[in-house]
This record gives sequence, structure tokens and C-alpha cells, in this order.
Amino acid sequence: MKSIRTASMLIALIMIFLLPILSGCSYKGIDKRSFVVGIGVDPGEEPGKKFKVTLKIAKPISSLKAVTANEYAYLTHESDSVAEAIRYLDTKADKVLDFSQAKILALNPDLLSQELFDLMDYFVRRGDIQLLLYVLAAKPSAEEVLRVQPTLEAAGENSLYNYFDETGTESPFVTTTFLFEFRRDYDTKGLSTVLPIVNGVDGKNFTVNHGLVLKDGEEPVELNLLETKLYNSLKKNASGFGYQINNKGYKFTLTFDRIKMKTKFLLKPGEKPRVLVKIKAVGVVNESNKVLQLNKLNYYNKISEEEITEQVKNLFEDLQEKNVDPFGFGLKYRATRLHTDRVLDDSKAIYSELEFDVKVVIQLKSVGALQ
Amino acid sequence: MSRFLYYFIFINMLATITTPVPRLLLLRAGDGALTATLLSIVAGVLFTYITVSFFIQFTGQDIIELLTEHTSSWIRIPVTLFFTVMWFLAGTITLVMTVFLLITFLTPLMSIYTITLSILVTVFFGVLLKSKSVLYTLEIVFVLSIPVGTIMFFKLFTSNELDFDQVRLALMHINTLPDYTAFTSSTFMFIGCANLIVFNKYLKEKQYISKWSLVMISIFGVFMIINSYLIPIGLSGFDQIDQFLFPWTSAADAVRMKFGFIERVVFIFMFLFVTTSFVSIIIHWHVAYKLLLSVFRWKFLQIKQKNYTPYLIVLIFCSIGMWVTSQITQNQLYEYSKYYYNVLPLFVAVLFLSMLAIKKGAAS
Repeated sequence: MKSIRTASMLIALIMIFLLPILSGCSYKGIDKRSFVVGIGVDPGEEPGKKFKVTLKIAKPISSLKAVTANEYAYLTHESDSVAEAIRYLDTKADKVLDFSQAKILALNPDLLSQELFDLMDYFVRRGDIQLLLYVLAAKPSAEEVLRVQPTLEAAGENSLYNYFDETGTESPFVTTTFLFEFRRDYDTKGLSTVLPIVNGVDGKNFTVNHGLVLKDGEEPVELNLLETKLYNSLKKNASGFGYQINNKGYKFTLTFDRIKMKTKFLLKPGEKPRVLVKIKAVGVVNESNKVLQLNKLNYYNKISEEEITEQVKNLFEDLQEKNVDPFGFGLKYRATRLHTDRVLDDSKAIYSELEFDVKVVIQLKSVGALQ
Repeated sequence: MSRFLYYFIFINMLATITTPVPRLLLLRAGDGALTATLLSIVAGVLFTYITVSFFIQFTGQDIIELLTEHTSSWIRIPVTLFFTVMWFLAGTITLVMTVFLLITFLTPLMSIYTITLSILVTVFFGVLLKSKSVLYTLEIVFVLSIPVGTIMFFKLFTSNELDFDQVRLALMHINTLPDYTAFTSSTFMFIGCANLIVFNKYLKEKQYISKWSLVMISIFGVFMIINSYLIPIGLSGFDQIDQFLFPWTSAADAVRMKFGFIERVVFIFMFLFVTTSFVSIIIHWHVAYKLLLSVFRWKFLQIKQKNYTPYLIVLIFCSIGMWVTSQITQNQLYEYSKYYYNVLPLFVAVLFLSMLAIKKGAAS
């Protein structure tokens, strides 16, 4: 009996000690938070201010049936550092700004020609901002891109997310660059990072089909439509529609399921360094200006190969001329030989005089449903 | 080998994520970490083999009994106290690191005291459990974390964004001389079986050590080294990896499940690793408390039939843990844990020498 009494006394005592906890902890409920869905950084307009930070904040809606369009609030402030601007914006909102749901980091291309380390610093340093943020170059400005309200956007969704998270549209023109990737590739010697350029056309629509190559100490290089597509296919293994072939009187559009790129360095003393790039692509013909014969697939392979070889080679040489390396030939060189003190310097020297031997193997499986 | 022995070894490897080991390895990434980890696999498996085959000879006895029986007390007491300190510090490092991880990634607004207290309350009761119950807790946690862990590691290792060129670049540094701190800290992964010094008492059946078990331990060890060394490099890049203070967590943050319940996998990882680190703290402090109890058992805490020394000891452990967590900075954590890992060879030497002394005593 006695032990039961002591036990009950003990439990009662513990209960009393637990009472103050009932008042709750310092955790802030969802009604006291406002969720930032996008962060935009532009160069400051006022003199002496370096950055203009725009936050896109989702307004709560009562139910999905009741509303037809999303409503967002926008907060803007100019300051010398990103952190300071965001601290100031805290005072403009009555609720805690919660960055854990933010997925868009829009950067003005004008900012990208300078050194990026102090700009990126804040976003990587803050543990609660996810490293899975989509980084994009925003034209004409970050603020305008964040303010775009696309006609196709349904309530409760954010159409910019759909471009990049590969659950919505999947196109070889769209480059997806996460914050961690952006930082990793920008920091790595012998590799350049590529950001998608989002164009907010007349406040109603986006177009995402260009890329911007960034390298520390070099001017940003804008990739055109074809180059962006080739980059995404070869480096990011994106596949899909739309490889135009215009050779020997044939005009087709090819769709590739798989594209694979392999590189091998051929270094012989006394000769220029060469790199053998082998590309293998498997796909079908989508559209043609002539009747196609199934038994002539090999011929179609050949003329497609010629065309794509030239396109790829032009792209490589063009990038080499501008001294950016989004395909990471420098890194590949460093990663294929044992470490010595000279490898890093060699990789820089070699990239500038590298010759590209591009070998494309295309395997067309069929010509589609029609001859 | 008993299944509990595997749990000890594997939990110790898993819990390295919530210790400074990944950062200490990655700090020396261009500078001999790779060769050091390879060496540490050999050293760790050898250590496991020697320790386990020693304790197999004395089934059902822990090191406290063995030292009392076969050696004199001037050996027993300092050795026991040294082990106590080592085990207590191992638990404390895990505790501090876990709190830092939580405060940086999960609850940046919460007070450090609240977080530490919420861990310590559970740990307090966990440490005071009977040794047998600790073993069962370990088993339950380990078994429950297998399904989540398997999926998570699968996601991590097959992530699209993993850049194999970066990994290859790291592997190309194999021609560097091994680094001492990297070696000792990665050896720490493998010394989970040292917990036998207390838990051997409860492994009653006759044990034997087979080749297969050593192979399994090495495979799991290689897997964990890839996980804590190469995966962060593949996801965060080789050149600037030393800038990350929580390299492994930052790498896990880079993995996403497009169609999962939660897109940011890092939270599930945190759940998994906070759980394993809980168990790891409980095991380490349990060993420390059992060792200390064999040296001190105060009479004045004897109330009726019960002696309250264990409560006092664990309370002291928790208070020290709380104090250290609130005082230490991140820099100090990495600096001091470096010293701790550097002392590990001394610990191994003391352990082996006391084993030798016990064997001599038992033979005569």
C-alpha cells in the first residue's frame, strides 16, 4: 500500500511541475507567420544603396473554392546588404516572416556581372532558407518577375515553381539550378554555373528559354535558344521535343529519349590538347518535310549526326572563346588525374587551347507513325 | 556475434553524422582525409576483432568485474576513471552537436536551454534504465529506423544533382599522406564495440566471431564513410567544402523527394539522426555511469533499501551537459572534439593494456 501512495504522490508532484508548460512554448502558430514564397534582389536605385530586396508573401485564403486567383503582398526595401533589408522588412510586416517555404530567388542580371559571394552568403548562411531554392536571372528586373500574375495560375499554386520542379512543364529549354548547385558550380574551379533567364513579359506571362552562364571574374554569357537546349540535354540530361535538323534537303524535328555525353582527354606532348566528346542519343522523328523510309534510318542518323556535331562543336568553341566552362571540362580534367600542385593551373591553361573532337552517335528508333 | 553487438557498431557509425566527424574529415579534404579514412577502416576492423575476441573469452563478465578479479585496485581505479571520462565526453560531443544542428536547421527561434532540456529529460531516464533495457531500447530504435533509413540513403545516393566529377576529383587526392586527425576521427566510427566493456555482462550466450561479421562491418563502414565524406563533396562541391559548418546536413538539404510527403528530405533525415543520436548519448552515458558507479557508491545516499548514487551521477552528467551546451561556441566544439579524437589512440592503448593485464591475471 505504501509504495502505491508514494508513487501517486510522485506523479502528483510531477504533474504540478508540468503545469507551467501548459501555457505553451515559444513556438509561433501558423496564423502568426507570413510565408515568403519568393525573394528578389535588384541593384539599388537610390545612391549608396547596393541592393533592392523584394519579398513576395502569400496571403492566406479561406478556401480554394472561394477564390479564383492568388493574392500576394509585396514588400520592398533598399539597403546595403541583403540581411539588413530583410531585417528592415520584418518591421513592415506584423507577422514573422517565414522563409522556410521560399523557393524562388530571382536575381537581376545587372547584379550578376559583379562578384556574387556577398550576395549568396546570406542565403546559404541562413539555415532555415532551403538550399533547394530555384535561382533564376530575372528580366527586366527581379521585382517585375515576382509581380507577374500569369493567366494560367490557379489559386493555391505558384506557376514559377512549376517551371523548375519537373512536376509541371518539362522542357529542354528550362534550366533548373538550385541554390546549392549554383553555389557549388560557381565556386568550383573549372566549372561555370548556368542560370535560367525568366522573362516576365508584360506582367502576364513568363518565358523561360534562355540560359545565362556565370563565372567568377568573367562577364555573364547569354545562351541563345539552341545553346540553352544543347546545354540542358548534354549536361543536365534533359530530353524532349525539338531538335531541328536541316541537312541535305531534309528538314526534321527529332525527339530524344536519352542523351549521354562522355569525355576523354587526349594529351600528347608536342600537340595541342584534345578532348574526345562522345554523345549518344536515342530518339524518334517527329516531323519531316519529305516521306521517310524506314529502311533508310541509318541515312537519317548520319545526316542528323552531321548537323548536331556541328552545333555542339560551335557551342563548345563559342564558350571556350568567352572563357566560361559550363560543361566543366576544367573540372573533368582535374578529376581524371592524380592530384599534384600543377593540375589546377594546367586545367586552366589547357581549357583555353583545347580542341574538341565531337563524335555524335544518333540512334533513331522509328520515324513515328507515318512514313 | 550477438545481434546487439552489430547494433552497437552500426548505431555508432550512424551517429557520427551528429558528431563533428564529417566536418573534421572534410576540412582535410584535399589534404590526406581520403587515405586516412581508408586506413581507419583497417584499424577499426582490427580493433573490433581484437576487442570482441577478448570479451568472448569472458562471457557474462564486464570489465569492472574482470579488473577487480584479476588486477589490483591501483590499476582498476585510474583505468575506470579514464574510461568514464572518455565515454562521458563521447556522449557530450553528440549532445552538443545535436543541439547545434537543431538550433541551426529546425528551430532557430527556440532557446538553447529549452532544446537541451528536452533532450536531457529523455536521456536522464534512458541512462538510468537497466542495462538490459538499454539494449532493448537500442534494438527497437535500430529496427524502427531501418525502413526510413533505407529510403533516405537510397534517395541520397541516387540524387540527380550529385556531381560525380566532384567525387572523382576528391578520389584523385588518394596520393596524399594520411592526416592524423582525419584518421582518428574516422576511426571513432568503428569503435562501437568498445561498449562491450559494460554490456558484455548481458551477452550471456557463447559468442564467436566469424569472417562474415567482419566483412559486414567493413562494408557498412565503407558505406558510412562514403556517406559522410564523398556525398557532401558530390553535392556541395570539392573546392569550398571546408566553408560548410554542417556539411552533411547541408548536403542532405540538397536532396528532394518530388512526390514524397515532404519535399525537403532533410527533415526526415534530422528525425532519423536525432533519434540515433539520442540512443548514442544514452549508451555512452550509461557506460560512463556504470563505470563511475563501480568506483563511487556513497553511503550517505543510502535511504532505506535504495541507494540514490545513480540518480546523483546522472544528474551531474546532465548538468554538465547543459552547462557545456550553453557555454561552448561552435568553434570550440570543433577544436575540443579534435583533441578528443586525437586522444583516441591513447584510449585504445589503455584498453588493450588492461586487457593484457586481465589475461595475465587470469592465466596465473
